[in-house]
Amino acid sequence: MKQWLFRLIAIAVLMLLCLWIWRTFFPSPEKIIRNRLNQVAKLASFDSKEGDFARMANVLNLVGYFTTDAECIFISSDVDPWTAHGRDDLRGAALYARSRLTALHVEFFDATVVFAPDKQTATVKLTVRASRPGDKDFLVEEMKVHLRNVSGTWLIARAETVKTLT
Amino acid sequence: MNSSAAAAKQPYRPSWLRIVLIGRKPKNTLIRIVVLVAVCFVVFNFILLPIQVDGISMLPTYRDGQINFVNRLAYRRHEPQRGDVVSIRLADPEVSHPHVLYMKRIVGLPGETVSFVGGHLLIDGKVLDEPYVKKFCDWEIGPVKLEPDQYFVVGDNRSMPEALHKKGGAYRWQIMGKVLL
Repeated sequence: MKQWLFRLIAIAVLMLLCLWIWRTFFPSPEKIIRNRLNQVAKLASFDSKEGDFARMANVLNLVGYFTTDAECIFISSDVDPWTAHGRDDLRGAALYARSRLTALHVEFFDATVVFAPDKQTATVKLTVRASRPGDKDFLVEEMKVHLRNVSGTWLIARAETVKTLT
Repeated sequence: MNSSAAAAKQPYRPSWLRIVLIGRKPKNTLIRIVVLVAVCFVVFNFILLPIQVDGISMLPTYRDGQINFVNRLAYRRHEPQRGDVVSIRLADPEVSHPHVLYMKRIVGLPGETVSFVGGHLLIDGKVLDEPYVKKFCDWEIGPVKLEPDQYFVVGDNRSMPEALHKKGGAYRWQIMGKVLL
């Protein structure tokens, strides 16, 4: 009886381990998109300790998460509205933000991912929260992000704010 | 009767520390803990959602950093009322426990026309008495006709510039519940 129970537990543990390994090495497209968005939030964040080399590397890395023709439309009551078309604009905006602010912390919450029937594009709805450490002011906006699968890599093709209260 | 035999007959008494930590009957304590955890999980996920106020838009009624709860069952039997302080979801309805919510007061009900003239809130052209507003403003907002399932929400802190204050029509599905305290 005991041996039978031990075997059952061992099989269950083994199956869970296999599932975990499978999910780690072969993540679902949704998981990949969520991870990439977390990376975008990390790269969009910066602090005063960021050196010149790291700043440039992070900005270039951040821009790499967008398609070459990416469009960003950010309209918020908390900051001046801005739009960016293409990677050059985005690079400029990221460098401008780093030159104007000493630190910025960007977080994405409550993301929902919906794939198009062809599975080559996806729409993510999420809430973005941007704040400056030690500052009471912060920004919260609802966003819609469209991603495109370009040669196996999910890139942001369009990101726009959504008005929560109409 | 010798002393060792008497000690053997005495019932086992757990130490006071053990009694404090796990009770006289550990099995019962374990059952109580499991029940308590289950009750807390259900209550704080599906009935009373704990929130922390972040920002100044609801001053002076709610201060920045204050802890509160959202009653998610408040509108099961009746619809939201004017004057209710509610939490509004930014996220998709699919997200059952959003991390970020707006906290606003309902001032306009479905079908009404809301406007701000000289800082006064007008509902269908009549000035609304707002005892919760302590600092008045000079906001000018054109008439907004609310849809049949839309509520007009605004914060109590009207000393903020109008452009910086999040306000407007919120659909019924966006209202998650009523703020408890």
